[in-house]
Amino acid sequence: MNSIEQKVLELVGEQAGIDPKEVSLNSKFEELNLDSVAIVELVFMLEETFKISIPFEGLDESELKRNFNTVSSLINLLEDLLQKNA
Amino acid sequence: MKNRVVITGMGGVSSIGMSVPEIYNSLREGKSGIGQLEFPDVSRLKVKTGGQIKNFDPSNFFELKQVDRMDRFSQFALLAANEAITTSGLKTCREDWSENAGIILGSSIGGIETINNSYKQVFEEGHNRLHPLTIPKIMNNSATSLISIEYQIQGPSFTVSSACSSANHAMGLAYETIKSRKSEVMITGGSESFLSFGGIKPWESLRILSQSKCRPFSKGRDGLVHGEGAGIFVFESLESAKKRRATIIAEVVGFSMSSDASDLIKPNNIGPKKALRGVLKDGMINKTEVSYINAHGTGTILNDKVECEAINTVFGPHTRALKVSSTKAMHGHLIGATAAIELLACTLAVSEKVIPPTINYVGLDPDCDLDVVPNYSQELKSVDVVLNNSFAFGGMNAVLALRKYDD
Repeated sequence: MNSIEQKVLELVGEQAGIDPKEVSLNSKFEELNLDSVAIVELVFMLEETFKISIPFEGLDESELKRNFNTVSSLINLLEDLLQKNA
Repeated sequence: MKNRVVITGMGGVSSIGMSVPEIYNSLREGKSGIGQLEFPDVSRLKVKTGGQIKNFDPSNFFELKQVDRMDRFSQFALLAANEAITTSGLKTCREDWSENAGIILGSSIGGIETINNSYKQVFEEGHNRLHPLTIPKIMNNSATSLISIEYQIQGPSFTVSSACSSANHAMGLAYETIKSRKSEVMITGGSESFLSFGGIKPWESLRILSQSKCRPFSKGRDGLVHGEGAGIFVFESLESAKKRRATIIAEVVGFSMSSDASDLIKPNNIGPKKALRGVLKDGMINKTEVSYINAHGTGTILNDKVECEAINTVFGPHTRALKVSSTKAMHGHLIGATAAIELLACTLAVSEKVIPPTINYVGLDPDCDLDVVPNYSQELKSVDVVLNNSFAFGGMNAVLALRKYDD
């Protein structure tokens, strides 16, 4: 597991209020019981940690669902954004 | 027919106690919660005393995740609401109680601790982004919303803001809501926490803070002292309370509001007189039935003088038989929550016939020649009606009346 994956699992676990060990790359966001506030906080934490800007405002439901479907889809998005910044 | 309204639950957190039994005890004993303020940059303040809740660690009461989502004033409100709702017995008596219940709270400024910390981050520390929950934590209705979410309260809910009268306006509106049969149960009161550097600094400029001690109505008084905390009550229709055999603490019998319409900071006696006359009329209360007034009694030279003039004029010869005390000398001025903590002084008077004192009193000021229950509480043979006065900056006045419950 690379360092991005590890950090994301840790932050997701923190927001969901569970042990990061219980979060896997295949975990689905809707099963992690993250409410709207937790998602907004998660986006904030990811932006702070990786020094990136995650498109969030003004996205329609389908885009949000795509990016925040599983932990692994979120990681794909982050990797894309980090590559663009590089 | 209009509903009769009774109090069936109470909760409070303040510098004189973290529960109603503790607060009652302090009020009875004339115990002060005023001490040295402790928070960052306090050394830059001219006035460093206040009624602060010391060693308050929210993680003792809430899950860590929750703590991040709440300003200090909301944490106080939730704790007091929990005590009020638990002691009311509503949860055990009525499964459906929260569906149509409402919440009306008072807070003059909302999440000022969050405002301060955020300003510090962007202005002083040069950060360019703030925590995403900054607004939800600051907003005045934050405490109300969090209580509604915690207890699934789905009826009329909002927050009112009228400076030092906020909680009295809130409780008066809660009373009216039940009286007019819009709801059977209302959670009401107020919450405030001004005690931070950015919270107190602007008050210094107003030059109304005491340089010594808060001594309402006393000679030598020189201003007010801040406090913080929350007082929350369960107001309920008499019908509902009787049906579930609830313990009835007191009946709410009258409410009145007025506005001075004259000055942002300088009070006059016209508005207070109007509010006092109004509450007697609204509650069909004979002047001579009033045993005790919990005064606004801030300890400023002008407020106390004007309040005494208003009481003297409205009550005439009965003024001599009245007990009038200000408990702010003990818990400090809780601004938007002050009337809520002070309603506990009123329920103590109604239910235990104990009149809490005006402490720090050192002698008569001819402008305030009333029986202000100096320094020691008094036990009366009977207490019938008590009034709770709030006269705020901006000239917003609100008076609430309680009566001993009698079937």
